Amino acid sequence: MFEARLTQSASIKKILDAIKDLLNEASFDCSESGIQLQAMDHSHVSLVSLTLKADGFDKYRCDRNLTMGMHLGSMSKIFKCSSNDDTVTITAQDDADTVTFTFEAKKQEKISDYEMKLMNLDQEHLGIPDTDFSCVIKMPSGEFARIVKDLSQFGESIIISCTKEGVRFSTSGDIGSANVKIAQTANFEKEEESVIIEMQEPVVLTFACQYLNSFTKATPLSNVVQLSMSDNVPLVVEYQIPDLGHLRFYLAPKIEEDEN
Amino acid sequence: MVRANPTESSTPVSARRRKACEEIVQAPSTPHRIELRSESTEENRKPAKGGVLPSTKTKRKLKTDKTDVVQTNHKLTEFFAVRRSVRKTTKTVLEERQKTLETILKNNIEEGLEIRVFDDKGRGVVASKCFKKGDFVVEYSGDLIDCLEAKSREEKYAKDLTTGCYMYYFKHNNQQYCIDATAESSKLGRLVNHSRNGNLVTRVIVVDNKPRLVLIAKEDINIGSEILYDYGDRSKESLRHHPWLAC
Repeated sequence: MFEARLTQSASIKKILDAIKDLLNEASFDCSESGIQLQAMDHSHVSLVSLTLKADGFDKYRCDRNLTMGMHLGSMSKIFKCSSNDDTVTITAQDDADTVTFTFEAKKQEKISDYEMKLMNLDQEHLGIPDTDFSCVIKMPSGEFARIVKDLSQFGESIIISCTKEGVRFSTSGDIGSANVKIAQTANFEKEEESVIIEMQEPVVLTFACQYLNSFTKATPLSNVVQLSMSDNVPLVVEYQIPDLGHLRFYLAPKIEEDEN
Repeated sequence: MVRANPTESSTPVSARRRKACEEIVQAPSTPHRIELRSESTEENRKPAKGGVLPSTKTKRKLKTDKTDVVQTNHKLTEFFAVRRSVRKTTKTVLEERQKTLETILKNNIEEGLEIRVFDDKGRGVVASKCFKKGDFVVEYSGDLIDCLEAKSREEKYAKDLTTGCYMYYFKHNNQQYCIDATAESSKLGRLVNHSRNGNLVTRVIVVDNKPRLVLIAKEDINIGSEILYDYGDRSKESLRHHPWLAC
C-alpha cells in the first residue's frame, strides 16, 4: 500500500508544469524515504531529477518499494482539476496498475477522485557522481528566467562565464550579440534577492537556450535558483521545493567542434 | 532526388506515408515509441534542412569566422553512466542464485573449509573463510537412493556398530529420498557435525533433474568456527544409539 498526502496540491502542480514539457512520461520511484524521479528528455541532452522527502508530506506510507510509470500530461490534466489549496492524497495498492488522486476541498464539502492507469516504462537510470563544482551561483530564479528568455531571442546557445566578480551570460546570432552581466551582491540582507557566487576557479560553458528555457518553467517553485558548473561537466540547475525536497535539471554542455 | 526537393516530387503514396509518420509522432507516446519518435522527427527534419539551404548560405555571409565552428549538443549519457540493472526482479535474483549453485555443484567445488579432529566428537568441519548468511557452504554428497534401498542398507549398517550415521532422509516433491554418505570419501559434507542450534540449514537443489542436498549458512560464519546443522532425527530409537542428537 502506498499513500502520500499533501495539504497543498499546488506544489505538485508546479512540479508537473516544470517537467511535463521536457518529459512525456516518467517513473516515480516510491520508497520509505520518499519519492524519486529521474528521467532524461527524449534527446538525452538533459535530465530531470526530483526528490520529495517522506517527512515533507503530511502523511506518508510506503509498505513496499514501488515504481509508478505515469504519463505526465495526463497527470497534469488531473491536477488541473484541483484548486491550489486542495488537499491531495496519492494512493496505490502494491502491484497495482492504477494510481488514485483524491482531492479534498478546504472546507471538505467536495471530494473528487481520479484514477489513472500506470505505464510500464523501461527507463535508463543514470548514476550521477557527487561533484565538487568549480562555480556555484545562487541567484533570484525570476532573474535567471528573464535573462534566459531575453537572450534566447538572439541565439541558440548561451555562454555562461563565471568569475569572482560576477556571472556573464552572452549569446550571438544573426542580428548581433547580447551580454548580461550580474555582479555579486554586496549586502546579504535579503538572501532571496542576492547573487552569491562560490568560486574555486573560473568557468566558461555553452548551453542550448531551448533547454534552459524549459528549466525556468520551475521558477514558481522557488525564489532562488542555484547553478552549479564545472569544466566539461553537465550544468546543474537546482530549485528547492520548500519543506518537500528539490528539483534538479542537468544539462550537458555544448562542446565546440571545429568543422575542419 | 527526393531528398533534395521533397515537396515537388512527393507522390500521393509518399504523402500518405508522411501523414502516417506524422500521426505516429503526434500519437500519445508509449515507451516503445520513444525510439521510433526521435528517428521519425529526424527524418522529417532532413528534407526541411535541404529546403532552407540557400537561405543559410546568405546568412553565413553576415556572420563572422565563428560560423566555421559547429556546436553540438552532447548527450548526458556521455557524462553519466547508465545503470541499467540497478534493480533485479526477485525472479532473476533467484534464477541467478540457482545458476551459481548449479555450477558449484556440477564442478564439485568445496572451498573455505577444513577438517578438524575434536577430542570429544571426532572429526568435524570448520570454516577457513567467512561465509555470509545465505551463502552456499557445502554439499551433503553421497549416493542418492530410494526408500527401499535405504532400508536394506540401514539393516546392513546396523550390524556393524562402528559405522556412524550418514543416512540423510528428505522429502522432495512428495517423494522420500535418502542420501547415503556412509562410504568414506573426500567429501566434507558428510563430516559436518550435529547441533540443534547449528549455523547451517539444508536445502534441496535440483540439478539435471536429480535432487541434491546443500548446506546453506543460516547466519554469518566467521573463520575458525565449526559448521553445524540439525540432523533433525529425534526418534527414540536413534536417541538410544546416538544420545548426542539431543544436544
